[in-house]
Amino acid sequence: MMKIAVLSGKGGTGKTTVSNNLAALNSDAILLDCDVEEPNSHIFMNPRIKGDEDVAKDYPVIDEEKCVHCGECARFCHYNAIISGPSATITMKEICHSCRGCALVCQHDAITYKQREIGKIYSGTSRFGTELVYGELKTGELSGVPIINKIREMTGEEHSILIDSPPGTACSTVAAVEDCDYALIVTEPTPFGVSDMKMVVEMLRTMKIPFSVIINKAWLGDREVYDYCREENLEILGEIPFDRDIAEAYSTGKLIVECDPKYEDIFQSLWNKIHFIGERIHGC
Amino acid sequence: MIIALCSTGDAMESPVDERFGRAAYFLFYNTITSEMVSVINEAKTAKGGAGALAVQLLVNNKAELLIAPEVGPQALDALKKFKIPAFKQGENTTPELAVLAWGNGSLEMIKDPGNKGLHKV
Amino acid sequence: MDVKEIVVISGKGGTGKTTLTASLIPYLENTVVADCDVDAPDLHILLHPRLTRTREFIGTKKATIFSEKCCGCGNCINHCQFIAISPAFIVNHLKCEGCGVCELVCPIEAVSLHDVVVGNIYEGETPYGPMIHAKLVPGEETSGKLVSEVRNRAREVAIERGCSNVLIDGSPGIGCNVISSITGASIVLIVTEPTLSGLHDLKRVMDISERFSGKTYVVINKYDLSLDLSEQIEQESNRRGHSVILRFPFHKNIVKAVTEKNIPSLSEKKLFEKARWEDFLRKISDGVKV
Ligand code: SF4
Ligand code: SF4
Ligand code: SF4
Ligand code: SF4
Repeated sequence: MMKIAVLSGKGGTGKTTVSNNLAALNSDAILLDCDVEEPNSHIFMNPRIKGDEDVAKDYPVIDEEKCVHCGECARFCHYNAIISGPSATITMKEICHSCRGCALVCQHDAITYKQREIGKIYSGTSRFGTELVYGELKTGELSGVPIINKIREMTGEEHSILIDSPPGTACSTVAAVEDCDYALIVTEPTPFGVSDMKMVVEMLRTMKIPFSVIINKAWLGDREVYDYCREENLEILGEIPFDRDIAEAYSTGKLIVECDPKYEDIFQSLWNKIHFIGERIHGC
Repeated sequence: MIIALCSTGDAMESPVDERFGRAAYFLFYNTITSEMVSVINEAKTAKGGAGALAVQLLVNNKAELLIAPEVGPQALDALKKFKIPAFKQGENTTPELAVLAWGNGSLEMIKDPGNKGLHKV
Repeated sequence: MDVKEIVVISGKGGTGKTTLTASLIPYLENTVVADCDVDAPDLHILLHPRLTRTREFIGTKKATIFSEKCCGCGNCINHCQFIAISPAFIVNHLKCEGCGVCELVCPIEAVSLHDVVVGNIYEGETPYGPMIHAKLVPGEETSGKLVSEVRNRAREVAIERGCSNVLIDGSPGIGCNVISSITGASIVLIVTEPTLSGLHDLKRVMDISERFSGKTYVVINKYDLSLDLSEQIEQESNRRGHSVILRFPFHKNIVKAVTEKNIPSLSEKKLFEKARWEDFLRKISDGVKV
């Protein structure tokens, strides 16, 4: 089945709105909230949590008995996570990237690895019947990539997968979007929306993932985003109008499809279009 | 004793640097011989853990004491493990003045990390 | 000289962080502006800086395998913890973290690491003073370092030019970038909105700000979208000892100003007056003094 990533150049453009409304209408899909720095889907989907799982990362521990303070490990570590002097060799677990290189260079077998928790993954059934898996990065941790990778590993091929990816184009977005069949860029018709979206377009093109655009808060701004899409030959798959009632409902954790039946049609037709495109490009 | 100092230049009269991990130079002043060695801080533009790399530099140059503006928690932990006490340079504008102030016993020891945590800075 | 840094962050995106930062700029004197939202730098759209200097920022290393040399032993694939090497012995640069393990385990030096440009740093002049901003190359990861670099450069420019403040448009989220943009700042302004997700993120952002920087203030944007949640935000902030120093209503004209690439506080003066913008500015300048 199709794996569809929903992303945006910056937060707050309506990425969660799009992924969650689509998921609410299609209870046999699975929604993965990979925006682990700011997971929001559980607020709207309100899942009954069935399980949680810790995500941990390796860090090196040095055996004082064996270490001769030769400093090889410190010289190797590309992230300067080890300091070695004549009397001591210490590791800084917050800086360590868990590459396991230091143990390879140590001639004295003094390095082993322990694990520390960097976040959690929760899974459950939402109030719409859709399965939701979401991750949460511990405050102060540097990278959510290991959590995202683990979320991505947890699901099979039987269901359509909707991924709420982290905003922007940093490493965590790449991890969330990797080997998706299709992507939806959610943007808004303001100069900011256009500027931020350009970077996402560039990233998806590098990753060779086909995509189209959804314009949220349509008609609130100007035509720049439409002009850009025309110039770049990007398909605009749908528009979600701006509506103050929606903004108010959203603020209390309600989805748009619950507010007004006309949005049900908008999102269902979006879903159908995505799958139609999926058949066209992948035959899946 | 060898004292490490953070400086923007390579002389004892250069202005002190307001950063530890990303100080431009480290000066190593030997109180017994009055000799000074200046080392460009590679950590200034280093990739990961600048504070950690700076501590490594101190260790390599056999520093026994550090005078700095402030030190982040990770680096401070590391300094403790290498038994390098750290003192605040405070209002002293050059490494020379800072050493004199230390000699007078008027420098305050850094016990808590400055900046509530220096992340990769 | 002591340069004070004021950072505007939001946790959740789209709360109006950049709009607020832009609105503050004309009212701050002696200030260097730094856009640390390197994933989505937007401030320059409203400030129109005249660029004076552009340079590349090398932030990381990546591995490359020379296929002519490679004997296909597979050591590198087995040891790469980041699953960055394909079965065809090609390094996926989007996944490679430059750890150097492949180089270490390759028996015949068929892999090597090289420097990679992760972004560009721009320096320019706006009508309100110098501005530094940067853009991350899409898909690159080292934004934390790029953020630090923008901040450091802004401080340097502030010292060179005798400016007493640096105003930073910080990064969204709560990860590496945000920590890099607020560590050690004098004032952190959190811009939030009255939504459940806004409140949820606000708590997380406050955790960070309390851990890594000085004074924290809260701004509620679009407060009238839910008075109930605005009240909850207010309570949460007060409980933690941070005051809410601006409540701004939702208004289409703000979007309109941004769309026309104007600074909202200049083109919509009335709206700002009504929201007690002057009080807000005074609180900030008091905060900077302490
Ligand atoms: S390489 Fe091994 S023996 Fe040498 S300093 Fe590191 S841990 Fe100690
Ligand atoms: S595992 Fe890698 S990153 Fe961590 S300390 Fe060892 S060499 Fe450095
Ligand atoms: S440098 Fe590290 S992450 Fe990159 S390919 Fe080599 S082993 Fe993998
Ligand atoms: S370790 Fe070296 S020789 Fe072996 S597969 Fe990798 S690049 Fe090729």
